[in-house]
Amino acid sequence: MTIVEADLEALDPDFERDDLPALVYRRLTGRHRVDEWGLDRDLLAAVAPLASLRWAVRAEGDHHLPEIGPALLVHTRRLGISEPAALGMAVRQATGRPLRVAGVPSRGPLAWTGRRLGGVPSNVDDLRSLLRAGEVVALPLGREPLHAFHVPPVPVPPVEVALRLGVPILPVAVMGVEPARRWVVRIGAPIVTRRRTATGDADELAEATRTRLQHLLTQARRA
Amino acid sequence: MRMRVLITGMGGELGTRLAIQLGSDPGVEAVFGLDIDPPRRRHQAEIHRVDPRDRDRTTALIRGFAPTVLVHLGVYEPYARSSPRSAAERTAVGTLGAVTAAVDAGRLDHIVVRSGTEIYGRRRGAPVHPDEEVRPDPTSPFGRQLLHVERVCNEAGLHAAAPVTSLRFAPLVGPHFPSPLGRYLRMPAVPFAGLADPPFSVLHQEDAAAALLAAVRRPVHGPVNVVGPGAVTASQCALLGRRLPVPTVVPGWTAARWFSELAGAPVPDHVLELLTRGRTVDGSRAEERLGVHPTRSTPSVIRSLYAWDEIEVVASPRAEAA
Repeated sequence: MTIVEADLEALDPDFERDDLPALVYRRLTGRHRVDEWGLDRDLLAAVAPLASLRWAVRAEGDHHLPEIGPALLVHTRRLGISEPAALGMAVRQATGRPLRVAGVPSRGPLAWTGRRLGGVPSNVDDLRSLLRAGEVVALPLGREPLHAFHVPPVPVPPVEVALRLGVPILPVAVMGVEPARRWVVRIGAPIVTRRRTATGDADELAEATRTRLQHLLTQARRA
Repeated sequence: MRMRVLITGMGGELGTRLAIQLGSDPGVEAVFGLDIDPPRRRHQAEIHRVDPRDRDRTTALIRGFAPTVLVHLGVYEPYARSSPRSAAERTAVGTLGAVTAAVDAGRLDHIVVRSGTEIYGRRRGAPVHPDEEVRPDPTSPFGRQLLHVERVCNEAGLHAAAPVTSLRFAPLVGPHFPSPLGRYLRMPAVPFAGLADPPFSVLHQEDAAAALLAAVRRPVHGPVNVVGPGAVTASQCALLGRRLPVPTVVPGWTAARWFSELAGAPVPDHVLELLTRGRTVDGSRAEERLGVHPTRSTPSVIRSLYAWDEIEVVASPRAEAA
């Protein structure tokens, strides 16, 4: 009989340690975990303290983020460099969950780094599989480098996927200036998709998400 | 009505396991098999050794049996049990011959076909974790072979008005299973894509056999991905097996393939694609459609690959008595 060894922490996450010696041991013995989309949780845990040196994130409305289950976070961006990191930090601080960011390149060294840290290429099929697996996925809108308080249109296909799977959509305004350290992440109340079934609802839902986002940004401007 | 099951490729690990399990099934009237190789273990089913390229003999045997269920496992992976050229010939000619004969026999109710996740391909911009809704777009010769097999079976299913279950297996790896990926990962030094080291998933042969059995018993139409939960990277496999991981970049793969072939583990194109671009699929629908869920995770299948015991020769009771 062959007995196949299994890690205790793989069977019971309570046994998983995130201190540096444990991370190094897992890395050297190949016991670190990489998921199907390429996320390396140990690498993310190692990078998180370094990210907090670069960015200081204040999250508002983070009680809307789900502790379990899938969610689609539709967020604004200006240049799109710091926004994924700021939002990822806000989600991690509030729920301890990794954020899956849609839109990393599909090839090249940036693709490798991005996927190891939770990114996926911008692809509706990958978005569907991530949401079906119960992940929190960030969907960045178009870049607005000059008009910080303008919300571009929300793409319909990802909204349609969320609608089909009954996944809540959370509008998120990510605010900050690129070289600055301080960022504010304002998370709106979830837009429930479970009761909507008609196919025409996707366009309407995309527009409703955009309106909610615009409202969040306008509120932030007044504040 | 009790099933009359025809298994092409019965000599392989999956065919042998399925024949043993169906042999004791009260819902099965007869099990009949064809393959170029003999079965890997003894069972009660009738098996005929025939080259899949011998279409006349294949047709005569299948028409004589008149199956109600066709389980088409005669899909030969390059460098698993045959060379790439011979694998392609056997698969293409064997599929056409077996499927046509089974339809012509006139009693076909259901087709189950072994396919693979290589069918999705890894073209630029392709999803990294496709589900069954993603249109197949193979980018390797084996992937194209699988697409051809699925198309032939689907066409036959239309003619016979029979559902076709295409089981898209992740690369099959496990102890005593002939697999080019398994051989490659067991080499003393394992080259991996130094810049990307993408994740991939595998499937244990027992889970694949369980999915086949479920598909025979529960006819569902359409493709079903069957994959072990989780993923690993090639460098991680090497470390798990206490092998030396060797980072390799694009020009180095030619040398890596050459050395690998010299070491007895040739790397076909679809395995190189897996190592350099990754291969995972969404297998979450297998449970709802077939009622089975692979019990062995990808890391545990890889561990079992390295925990493969040496073959122990045990004397038979008859020899001991003598």
